[in-house]
Amino acid sequence: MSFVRTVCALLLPLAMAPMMAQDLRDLPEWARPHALVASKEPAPPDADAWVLFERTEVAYAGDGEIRTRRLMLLKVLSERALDAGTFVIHGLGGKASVVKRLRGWNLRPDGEVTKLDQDRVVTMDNASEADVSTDTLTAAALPRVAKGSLIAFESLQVIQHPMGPIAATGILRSFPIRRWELEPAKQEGWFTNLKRVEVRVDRRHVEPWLAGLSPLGEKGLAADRVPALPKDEGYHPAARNVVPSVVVRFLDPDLKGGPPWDDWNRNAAWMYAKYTDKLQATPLEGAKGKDLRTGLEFLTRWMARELQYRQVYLSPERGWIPLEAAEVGRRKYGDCKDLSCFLMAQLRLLGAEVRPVLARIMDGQVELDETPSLGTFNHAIAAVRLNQRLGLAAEVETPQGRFLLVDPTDRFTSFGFLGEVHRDGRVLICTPDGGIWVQVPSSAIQRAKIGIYLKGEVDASGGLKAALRILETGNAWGLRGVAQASGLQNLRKHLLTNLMDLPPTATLEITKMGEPLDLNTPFLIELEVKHPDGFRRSGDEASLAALGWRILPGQIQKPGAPRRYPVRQGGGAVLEYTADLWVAQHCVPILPAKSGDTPFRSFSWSAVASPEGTGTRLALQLRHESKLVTFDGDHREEGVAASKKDRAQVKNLMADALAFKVLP
Amino acid sequence: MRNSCFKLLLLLLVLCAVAAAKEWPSIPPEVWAIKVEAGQPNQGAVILEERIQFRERDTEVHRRIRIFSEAGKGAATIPSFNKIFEMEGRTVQPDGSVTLFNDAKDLVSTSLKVGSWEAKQQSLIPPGLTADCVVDLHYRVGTYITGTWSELPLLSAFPIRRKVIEIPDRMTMGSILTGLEHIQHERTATKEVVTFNFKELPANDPEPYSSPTARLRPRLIFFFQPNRLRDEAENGPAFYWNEVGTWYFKSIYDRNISKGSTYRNWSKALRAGLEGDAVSKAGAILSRLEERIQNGSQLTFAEFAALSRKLAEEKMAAHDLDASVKRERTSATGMRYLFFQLLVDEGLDPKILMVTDRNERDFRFEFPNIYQFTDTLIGVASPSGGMAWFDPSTRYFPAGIVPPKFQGTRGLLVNPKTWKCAPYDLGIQGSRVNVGIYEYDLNLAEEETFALRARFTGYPEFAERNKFFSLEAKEQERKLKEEMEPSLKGYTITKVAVEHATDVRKNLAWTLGGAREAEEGRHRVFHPFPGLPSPLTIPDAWPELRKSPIVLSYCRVFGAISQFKIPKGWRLVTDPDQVHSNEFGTVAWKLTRTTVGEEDRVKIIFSVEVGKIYAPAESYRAFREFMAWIESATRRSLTLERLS
Repeated sequence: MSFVRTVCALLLPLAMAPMMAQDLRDLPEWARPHALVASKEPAPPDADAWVLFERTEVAYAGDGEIRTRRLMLLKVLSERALDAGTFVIHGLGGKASVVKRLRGWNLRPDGEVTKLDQDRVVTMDNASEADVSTDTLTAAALPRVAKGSLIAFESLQVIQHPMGPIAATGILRSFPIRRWELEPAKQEGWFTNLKRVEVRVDRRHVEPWLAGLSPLGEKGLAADRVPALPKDEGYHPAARNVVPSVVVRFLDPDLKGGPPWDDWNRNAAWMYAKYTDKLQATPLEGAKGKDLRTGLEFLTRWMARELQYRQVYLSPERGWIPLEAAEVGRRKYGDCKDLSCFLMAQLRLLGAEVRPVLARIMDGQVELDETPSLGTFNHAIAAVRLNQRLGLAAEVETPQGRFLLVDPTDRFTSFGFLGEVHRDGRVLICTPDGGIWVQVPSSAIQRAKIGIYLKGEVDASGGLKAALRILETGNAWGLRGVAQASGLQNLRKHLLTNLMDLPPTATLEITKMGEPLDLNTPFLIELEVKHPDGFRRSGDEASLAALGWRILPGQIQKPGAPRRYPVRQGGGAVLEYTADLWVAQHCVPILPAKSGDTPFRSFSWSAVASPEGTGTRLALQLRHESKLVTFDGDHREEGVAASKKDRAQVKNLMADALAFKVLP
Repeated sequence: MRNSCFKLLLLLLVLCAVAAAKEWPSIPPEVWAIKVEAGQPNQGAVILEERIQFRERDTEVHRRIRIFSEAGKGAATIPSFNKIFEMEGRTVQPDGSVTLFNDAKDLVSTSLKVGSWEAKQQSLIPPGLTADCVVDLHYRVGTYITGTWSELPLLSAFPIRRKVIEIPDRMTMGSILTGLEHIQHERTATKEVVTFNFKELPANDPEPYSSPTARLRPRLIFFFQPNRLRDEAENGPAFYWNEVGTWYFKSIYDRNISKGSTYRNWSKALRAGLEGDAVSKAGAILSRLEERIQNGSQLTFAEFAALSRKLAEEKMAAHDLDASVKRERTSATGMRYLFFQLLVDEGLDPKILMVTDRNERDFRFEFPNIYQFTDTLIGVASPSGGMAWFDPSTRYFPAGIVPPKFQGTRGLLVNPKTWKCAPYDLGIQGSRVNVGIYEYDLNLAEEETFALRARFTGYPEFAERNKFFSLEAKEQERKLKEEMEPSLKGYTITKVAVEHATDVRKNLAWTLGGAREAEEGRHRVFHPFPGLPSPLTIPDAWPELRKSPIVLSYCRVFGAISQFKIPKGWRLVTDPDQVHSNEFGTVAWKLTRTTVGEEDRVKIIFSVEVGKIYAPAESYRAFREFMAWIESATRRSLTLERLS
């Protein structure tokens, strides 16, 4: 018996060897308890990596300086996540952000430990979507990461943000998180008194993603079992409007420079001052002596023609602060702030009272009770104070008078309107006395519309020869933009790639094109299309090629997967399709008429066939309009079901509307 | 007095500044008259003149650009450089207003730091650009010429009216202009400088299924000539290449190879029991080599994870065959040396073929420079005539298949018996060696299901294997599933398996199963080949006219077979079979029906044979026709009608 026990005692360490291979003492002290606890739990199913612990400490050190310490411990669960051994820090560059410390550990499943080597730290400039920016990206790659590796990173970044001591973070990541913590603090030094500094922590959209956030220390927050961000779900609202996030503000009354973040009014007044500083400009020759309306129309047209949208940020604050109007005029390019600043300067020379306006486009909305935060807005436009109505669509009445909203970045929306990107938007007009919140009225938005008018003939072998007139109102399909920015050849490519589903033997020639910047009339493109199989015969039916029928919605998500995001469709352009077609066969429509109204769209279809000569004349009409629709929270599965049903209905419409019974 | 001196000094400074300011040539009225020409492609700008002066340490560029629409603004973009010594320019509007710019005011600098190493990039965004302007640019930057081989394309995205290139007569790097068959040019030379003048260079507009094959691409090449071969280059190509053979190739394949008893014993064991002709033996040797020696340059994730740090960081001396055998691992180059030596040991008289990726360069025997090659193949004589080629450096590359990037190119054949070199033309392999077959079993019940098995030989087999071999089994399946999902919208993938991804003796195959609810409607429309990839990628947009030759990757046979039973209560609407053929190959879609008892069974065979990979631009119409047949056949769906 004792022999058996002895053998067991000898063999036990060997049997445990694989389990003991990772010595958690090789990890930094803060990581060990989390690694130990997690080692006793099953990993989340279907995850490529598991963040065992993520902690962010945001400390205010006075004078606008924030020190952010980040700790992260992660377990690599599959080969897909080997790149989790790379840690990335974004910064604004220059003195605005400095990475003071960056350490990393890779505890491999075989027990070997590799640590971060300075030669594997890469820092690159120009790390944003701008053409040029001072933004930096620091990436540290741990060597020899393997499946089963425990990866730990620790970083310290000192940030002197030009817009003040404010920080924001999301909570959900690509991988599930076992324990998440955020702890703000004041970091007083020998000579720094931060007693008057107020720390505010605000959270949004915590439910239904998390059961709640528990308090941590004086101001901190923590969460356990944070799920990963959903994947493969289409038609959802912008993440900022639905997934959890936290904003930390250090309100320092002694801080000079940077906007106040305690309320929107003081913030807006500060922003107003930043624009008015930069409004010196030489008047444009053609604008002199014009009244406000004609002057404004002249200026927006001139800007659309002469100035180019480019983001060139050569100093850290340029993401928020405009360039001097005179310099914008010299460069003949600028971003939305710069273009707004230029327009404001020129309008001021005409005697107008102008205001910068902060907006959010293309990536969610500004919510009603939103905490002042850096990420609230992503666009700038201008407002002109009106003493009397000009009769333009984008005029808004506010408690402080009437304003006209103008978006000088948008070159393709008719004068007096705002583009579709502003639909449902909430903007902040910045005045010397504070901010004015304005809900953009739907009447201010130019309804985008596409008209397709086809006239043609089908020969006995099914070959279609057609002339198409496309009329685009507003920037419905971006045709004006493509034509203006990249010319006729690329417009042809764009049409073929995105709008016309033509076989390789078909031909498409643009015979006429309107002036993309003439916004008084719809943008006209005339095409000649030859499609060798445009009226394709199958059995005793034939189907007409769906030229320009860009109406089939994408699939909302993979079948069978539970929905996590709410469902949202953002609306779209109205499509009007008319065809007058002579077919060298006797045929009748399979679907003479149909109209539909789903939560996502409404449409009406009619097809009339009349015998003419040796064939049939077809008169076809479709009107299709996408709707703006949202299925919130508890109704999301209902939204998925409705979306699937809607897709099937459109598919059937496309199959049946353009199908014709060929008569003997 | 002091005041007067100061004023004088100031005046002098101003005068100096005026003298230093760049004097730009005037803009003649005809320049402003340049607009979009009807019927001509509109790039939006034309480069009126470009003068590039190469020097040993820097390069100086003068450029005048006429922009006449917004699309042409890109013509004034200046690439980023490590070092801009000077840069100045102006943008001129039709009304004569001028925006001056220079490196002091408008330069943008970015940097990339890796550890203590830092690379800086400088560029300029010219201010004042409009859709109707002229831009004058002058800049002097660090040398364009780096490494042993640098290429400068002569064409740009915009047409160039006049281009002048000046190259000093004496430079450390040699230079050669190539691809000028259709380009107007003249050469003049002084004692110091060789000047090339080009007129009316067209815009470089990439076309689908064209290749940047060097022979068709006008460009200037700077190349390094090793000191040892400088004199040889003067004595003509035959002399040069034979010297390269005896000096270079002999040293790396013979003189420098280290092999002792460990290798010899291992070689003997590996070659034991080989049968068949030289090609069969060489194929078996390669297969055994891959089983025994790990190609350390192309490890799977699991192999890499299993390496100790010492092994991972160890430098693999490719020429030391004993060491390779002992550690059972070597580099890609080491695999080639081992394979070559094993063939020598077996007495198969192997040949070495230096080859060039046709997408990067072309090898020209008459141009004596050793840096023309990108890869090496090893071959043995085939009993049926010709040579069979092997690529032992690329893990799992099938024996006897020439990588498509080398097919139809010229290489340099090195005979290891004499170390003499000669040009060698690699042919285009026939379609039957590259086969992909997709077999479907459909079930058209209320829930439509399919089972697909795909199997491959030749290059398609390697292409498939290359996607999967580095992954563990679970990840291989996941990758396949994710790859197929976009083309199987509406289906739930129910089964997925990848077979033999790391088994060198068996061809890779994979299986996939899927299901979807049958769509309700007037008819039931279904695809007989759900998720079937297209044998050739069909571009969305085809230019109406074609300028460059048509180049496809490789000849191949692509087949898909679908079998199903027509469900009771339904009738299959059938369309005529299609069989088309032209100079590019054959596309066939055939349906056969058989009735067994009460069962009405259908079999569809869709096949494509690509029989040609090079064709002149004149064959464009036939090519579009060929692609249209493929597109039509891959899209073709079937319809079931309910029997009343």
